[in-house]
Amino acid sequence: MEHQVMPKKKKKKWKHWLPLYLMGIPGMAYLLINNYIPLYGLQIAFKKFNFNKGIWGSKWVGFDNFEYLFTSVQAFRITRNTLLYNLAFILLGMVLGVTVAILINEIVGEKIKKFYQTVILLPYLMSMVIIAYLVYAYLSPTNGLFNSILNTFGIEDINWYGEKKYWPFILVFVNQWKNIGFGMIFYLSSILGISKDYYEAAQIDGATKWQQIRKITIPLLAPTIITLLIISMGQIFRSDFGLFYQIPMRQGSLMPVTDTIDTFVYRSLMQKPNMAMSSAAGFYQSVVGFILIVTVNAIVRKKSKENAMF
Amino acid sequence: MKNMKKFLALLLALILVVSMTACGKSADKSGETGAQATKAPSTDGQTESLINFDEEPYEVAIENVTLGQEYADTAAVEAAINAITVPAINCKVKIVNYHIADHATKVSLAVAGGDKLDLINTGLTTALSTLVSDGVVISLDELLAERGKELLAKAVNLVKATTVDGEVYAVPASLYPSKANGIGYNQQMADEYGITIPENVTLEQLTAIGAKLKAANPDLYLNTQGDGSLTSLNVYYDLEAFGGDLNYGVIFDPLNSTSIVNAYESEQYKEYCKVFKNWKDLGYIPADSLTNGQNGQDVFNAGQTLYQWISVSPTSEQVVAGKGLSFTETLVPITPNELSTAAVQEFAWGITSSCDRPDKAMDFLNFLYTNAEVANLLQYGIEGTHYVKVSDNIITYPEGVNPMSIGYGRIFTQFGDTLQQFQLAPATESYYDDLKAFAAEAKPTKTLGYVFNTDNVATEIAAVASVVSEYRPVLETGMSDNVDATLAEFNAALKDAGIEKIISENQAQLDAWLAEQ
Amino acid sequence: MRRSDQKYWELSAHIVLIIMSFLAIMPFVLLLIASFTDDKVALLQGYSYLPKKLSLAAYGYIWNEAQTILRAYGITITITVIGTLVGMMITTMLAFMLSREGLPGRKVLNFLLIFTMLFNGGLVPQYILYSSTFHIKDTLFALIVPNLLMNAFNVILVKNYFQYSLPTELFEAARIDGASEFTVFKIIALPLSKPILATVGMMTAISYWNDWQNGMYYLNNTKLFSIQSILNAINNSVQFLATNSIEGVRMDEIPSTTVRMAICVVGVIPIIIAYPFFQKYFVKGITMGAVKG
Repeated sequence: MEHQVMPKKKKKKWKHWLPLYLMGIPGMAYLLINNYIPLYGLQIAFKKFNFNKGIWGSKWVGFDNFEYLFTSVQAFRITRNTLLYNLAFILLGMVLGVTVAILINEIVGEKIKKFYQTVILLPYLMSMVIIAYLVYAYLSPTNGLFNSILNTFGIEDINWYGEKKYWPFILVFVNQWKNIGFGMIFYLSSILGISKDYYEAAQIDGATKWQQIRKITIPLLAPTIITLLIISMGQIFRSDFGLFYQIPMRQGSLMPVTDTIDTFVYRSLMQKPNMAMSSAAGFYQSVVGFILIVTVNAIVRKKSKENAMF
Repeated sequence: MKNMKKFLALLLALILVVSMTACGKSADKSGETGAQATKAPSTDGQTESLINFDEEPYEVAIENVTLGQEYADTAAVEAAINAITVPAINCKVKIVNYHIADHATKVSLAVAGGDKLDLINTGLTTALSTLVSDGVVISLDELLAERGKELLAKAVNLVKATTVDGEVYAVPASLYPSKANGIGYNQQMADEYGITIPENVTLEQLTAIGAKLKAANPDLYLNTQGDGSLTSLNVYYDLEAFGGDLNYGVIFDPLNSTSIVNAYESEQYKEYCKVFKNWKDLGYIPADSLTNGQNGQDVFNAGQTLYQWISVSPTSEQVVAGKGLSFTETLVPITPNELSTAAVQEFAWGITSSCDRPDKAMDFLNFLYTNAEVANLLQYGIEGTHYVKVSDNIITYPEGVNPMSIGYGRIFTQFGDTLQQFQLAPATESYYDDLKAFAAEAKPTKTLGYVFNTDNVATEIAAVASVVSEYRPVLETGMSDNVDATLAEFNAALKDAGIEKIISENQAQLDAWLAEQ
Repeated sequence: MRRSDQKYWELSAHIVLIIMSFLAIMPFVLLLIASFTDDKVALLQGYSYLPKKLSLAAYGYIWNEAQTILRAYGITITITVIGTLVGMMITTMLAFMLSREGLPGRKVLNFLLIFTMLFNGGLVPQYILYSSTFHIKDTLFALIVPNLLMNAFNVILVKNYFQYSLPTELFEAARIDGASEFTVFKIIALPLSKPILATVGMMTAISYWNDWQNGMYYLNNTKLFSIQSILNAINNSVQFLATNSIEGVRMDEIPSTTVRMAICVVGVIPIIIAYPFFQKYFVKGITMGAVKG
């Protein structure tokens, strides 16, 4: 009897899953074409790339293209800056994003809610080149708005573009200012998905707002937070080129605190472009990101299996 | 009979190539006689004999580099050119527009993807040596000898400067590329404050001029170094930089010397940095140019500075006159009128490695340098629609048309024999004689024809470039508090990055090249 | 007591959000004013809230290109609508598949998805594939398909929403009733996920709206240029000429930096207008959730 049931059940299961697989086909096919087939280009990082010979025909050169990333005197500084800024961006982005999402959720009037959301998203829509001009309008040593405000209080001009101690704060501020609207939206959509029942029950029990946020909102946001955290681990060796290149106006004296892997690669190859060497930098960033994402995911899986991504 | 002629032409071409590579110093003369020698027997029939008129006309794709204009009449211009080229060389032309800012990326993608693109401008956005080592352009030696005889004859003195590792990879866009570096100054401003600027003006003299200007009107500046991304050392000192932006070492006084030195360690550089530090302290140059995003040309055009850097030649005089400034800009050369590898390589034409028919591309290129009618069509479009004649050779835009709204035009790229082509007003008929005289008096540098192959020092070059972009703008805009200290720090960082290895590699290659000449 | 707690929270929320709105709006106002500032004044005195002289020159330059710009808006709207719709379809379907626990091979597929966020083969192989195999050069597909149609990040967000924010009991009930997976997806998952769909949809739309890279790589025919491709071309002209000295170019042909400000305004305004419409779905999503949950 069991003999006959088993295959039948399996068959039924297969039939059950089939529509799901069918639904996944267009997306997976797109990934295959858009992402997987071009992956053979990764070998450029290990070759002396020659257009005439093509990607496959170019000569292998081992790790030659990676050399400039590690032999340079700036190797330590760019790695440190990239990592520390990204950690600050990730943590602050999470705290601020969740806070703002919760606050917006507290607003009752629909119109004003829309207004806040639209306005806070505004900076996200501007390009870094434009933002660099605006930041300069505020910080310019000669006719900047900040210095004229300082002057009215009797404080002397600050040479913003000459003093590196201000720049970690400026860069973190600009980053958060630009991206907070974007981050907030994701958390807000998760909050909106939380059933009102939970809150009603809590209110009947006499829970305060703060208790509701701590006991209901945050725990239910945890999967989103953890997912975004794991994803950002994969990007931790990449940096927002526009932010670090445009906003400090390429000032040499600020570079100890503004130089990251991406700006370094750009500056190194600007004068003599070399596709293989820039591929090598990308490959290096990917490998580090890959190791981190797998590690963090493994840790998460140990703590709570369902929140792991794979 | 025809075969005999073909043989003769080939033989002459061969002699030409041999004489070109064999004679170094007397290349000037041998080139000229070579040119005359080919011209005599080579009639139109000569070239045609190589052309197969039985096949379908091949469509040669040539780029046009734009500032984003649509050039709606491109098809009409192509048709007008085809009407001449199909009967003459059995070629059609297809004009491919690229925006100048995307040019480097799009050319490499087109070549990688095998898109239709045959003739590209080298040097404009990517150095010829890079294009050669990346395999973007192909060797033209055989093609020139076989199908580009007229072109080769005209450019025989110049192609040695587009030779990389013994093979010619491009033909110069201008047959008269020599130039001097110098400055262009605001004549009205100078007159108003009683300033005269002599030829070959020195930094010391300019400092005195700055004092005079500043005393007369404190709101004005002598000059600006912009954001410091472009060096102006080559404006004030005669030097050869091998297309390396000072990073590959330089030869000071390249008309007489062949010794490569580290520019950043030179006395000249120290002096230069100190002058600009002094100018900044005295207010001769803006103190915030490093960050304010204003480039030298904008500030100069707005009448805020006395002078800007510019290269000096009859062509740039004509360009300056056409700028439509509210004042007169007078050009003053500082360095000698030189013919260097860099000057020739700055704008040249190459055939892509993805080109299906390099032979037809060469036919077309050759035709461009011999047939002024086609060159004028490709450069300026159709008479009456895109230009009107002022005199025999001078043209201007039709009324109500400007370079951004015009139906066809070219901004960045040129080709052909300038002496046979129209010129845009305000140039006058005397331009042709001026150009001829200027080209004749140009002196070749000792390294004319030498190209530095950077393959062995790619890592060092990247490392040096990143160090330079960190320190140099600060030094050159006078923003460093202590020039000596910053310069020492800069040079130490350059040593760590391996600048000495680059320079010794460069010198070794140059010595080997010199030995061959 | 509870009411005053609520009031207190709302008040502090207002205070914080007003400060944030101020921080976000003031630079934008500066941008607007800068785009109306006289060029020479901007050159000499920088940008300020109270410029000495106003000018419409920057918009005049854009107005010269009005016809081109209107056509470009048309193209941008077309690709944004098509791209967002198709993209959302394949994104949600893939997310739904990956959200189903127990699906054989789910972990491998999840990993394959995340892998695409880390490694990419670079521009050249992708260009060769799209231009030589699929021949999308100089077609609208070039603006829609490469990179923008679907990305792993959005799939993961939607997947997570399906997985954690929707009540699993609803799915189970439907399945016991004999509903197919596709029916569950259509009848239950999609309607209950409007907040995240609106979010991801809007992000996809913004990335289509703001994209100029696909246009730069795959288009030579300027007639197909989207608004950002045009704006980027103008922007690049300014940028290029500021950092390179090329002889033979007449600078007065080129609009100056105030044009960049105007360009940014022209690119951003439509999004600001369209954004509230997207937000409607947030509201709808809440009411839906309230009724069903």
